[in-house]
Amino acid sequence: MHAPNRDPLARPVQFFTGKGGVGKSTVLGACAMAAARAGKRPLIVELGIHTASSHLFRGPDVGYEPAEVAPGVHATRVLFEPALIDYITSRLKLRPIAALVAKNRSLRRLFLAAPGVDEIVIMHRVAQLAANDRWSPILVDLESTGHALMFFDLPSVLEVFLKDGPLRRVLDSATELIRDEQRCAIHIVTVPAPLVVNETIQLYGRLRERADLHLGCLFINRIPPALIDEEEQRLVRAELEGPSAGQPWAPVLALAEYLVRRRRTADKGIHGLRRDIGLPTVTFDECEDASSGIVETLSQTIEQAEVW
Amino acid sequence: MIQLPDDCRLAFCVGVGGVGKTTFAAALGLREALRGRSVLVLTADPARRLADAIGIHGLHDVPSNIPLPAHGRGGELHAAMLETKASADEIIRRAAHDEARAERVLDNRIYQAFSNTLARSHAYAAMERVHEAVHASRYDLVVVDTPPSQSSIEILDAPARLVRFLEQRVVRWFLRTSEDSPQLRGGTIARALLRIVAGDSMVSALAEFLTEMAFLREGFAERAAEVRDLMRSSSTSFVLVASADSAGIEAAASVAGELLRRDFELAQVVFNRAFIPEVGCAAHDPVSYPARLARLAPKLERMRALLIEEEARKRSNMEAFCRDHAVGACSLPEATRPLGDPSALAAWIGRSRPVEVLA
Repeated sequence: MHAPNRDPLARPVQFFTGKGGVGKSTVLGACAMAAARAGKRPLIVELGIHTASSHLFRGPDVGYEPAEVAPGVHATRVLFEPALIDYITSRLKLRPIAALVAKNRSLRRLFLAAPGVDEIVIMHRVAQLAANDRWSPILVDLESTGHALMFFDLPSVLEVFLKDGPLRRVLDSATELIRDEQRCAIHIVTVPAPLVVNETIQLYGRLRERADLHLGCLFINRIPPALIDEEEQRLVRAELEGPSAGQPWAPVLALAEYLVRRRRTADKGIHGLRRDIGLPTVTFDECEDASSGIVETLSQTIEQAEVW
Repeated sequence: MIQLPDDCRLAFCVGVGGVGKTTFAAALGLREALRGRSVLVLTADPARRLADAIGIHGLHDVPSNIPLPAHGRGGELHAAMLETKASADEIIRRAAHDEARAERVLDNRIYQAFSNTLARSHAYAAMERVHEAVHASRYDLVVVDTPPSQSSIEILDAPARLVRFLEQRVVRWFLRTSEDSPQLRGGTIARALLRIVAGDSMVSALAEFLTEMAFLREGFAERAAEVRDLMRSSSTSFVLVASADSAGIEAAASVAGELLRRDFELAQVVFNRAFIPEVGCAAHDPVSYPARLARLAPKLERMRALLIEEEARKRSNMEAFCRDHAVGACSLPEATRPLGDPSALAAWIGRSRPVEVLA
């Protein structure tokens, strides 16, 4: 028996989930960059229509074939049709025939309309990439929390009627991968905004109920800076309520107070996340928007982070 | 100014997750209701955000009536959450005309597996609900809050996909009911291949399912075709909700591209959390601070500069987007206190500003 792989960020298959808009792709990109700098061969796997990694690294559009988006970092987008051809090829062994099958009008209509087929085909592709020694780690960007739960619940849903056969074997190997503590970790990405915090805590609860899943880290992204200390905050408040009311500089004080409120809300969120989510946590400060070095900055944070 | 055309009967709010799409859908529905229309807001968001936004405890598959603030002009607002399983069960019951037959389908293990979890089932159920709501004469307008991008495109694709699949010929081909038809003979090899590719258990499970559901097929395909056509008609509007930071703009561009690829016309873009009302009040002119604030002044100036820069960045992002996509847009402020009742929601959407694009 191997000792369990203690560092979740060192496992070869990493899933990232979290509500949309929390910067999941950015965090994932930063992890990939840090892995590349450590001499590994990371592959970013995107499942959605939106190719975040090409924007993130200012590169060309990411397609089905893995392409290098930054030094040592590759990315791929799992598209349904080529993934279907890949799956059929794995069954028929001959790629040209597989392509013909995938192009057959009736079969196409069947595959496009039948629920479950795209999920299975995507799982097949992810398992295929995970099995390929060329890449480690693979970092899978699960688009939304619903998507993630669907992905992890799929085996139990389809088990009902997939008693045997090739699709069942795909499910089994994907399930085995997801359940393997040595190989797989599921990370949660969040930001310290009130609604998002609540949803993250709920997501954590639902994932934790599943004893077969192995949670990795909690990433708290976009923590706003503390620009003035507590004494200064009190001064701003007192001025606004008293001597500065109606003065020309009062609107500027109001802005300062707005930023203080932003930070305070974030602190409250971070506190709740820490209290309710018992995972090693990595925090990222808010970066200037539009700075193309955002991934770079975050990846340095990861390298220096003490995961506790 | 956010307002739908008077003849708009169906509005889809699309966009990636986390931009406030559900809250906006609620606000849009409310605004139209306050103009005197009878509106249904349909959310597919399981996170119950719609219920939170309009200040009720929970939403269900059956629409709830939301009390309007007093100044309404006789409009009505209803809201419902799409529960895939409940919707699908209801569809079966209605179509079966016979309890025993309905129960047989509802007990079918494949039906149960499909109706619960999968993205595509969700999209099909949403389509049925949209059809039902648009054809029920009680609503003038149906606002659909779609789930995050991938599944929202899924919902938009569902009708056309189903129409193609449910064509009698394809289903017959699959069920092998007309072995002798010359058109279908070529299918034998493909069917054999399907068995190799998908396995016997999958093929027989699907055949069983399609046979059991045969009574549904006709009506289902017809309704799918109607929704497909409705989505391309002039009485349907697509509103893209986005955030105005650079990541949000890129995400919006990819959703806009997906719509374009499908020939859906984008009516308007709404940029949420695009400005902070307080920044507008703090004029950009230099301010001379009293001596007692001298130590704090540099920090105050830095904070002001930070927020002004943030807004300027967002403004130029929005303008560029509107120019590139030749589409009109408006921006909404960050909600500084939680919304949570119709009046707060109406006040929030009332503060929208048009995005000005200089020629």
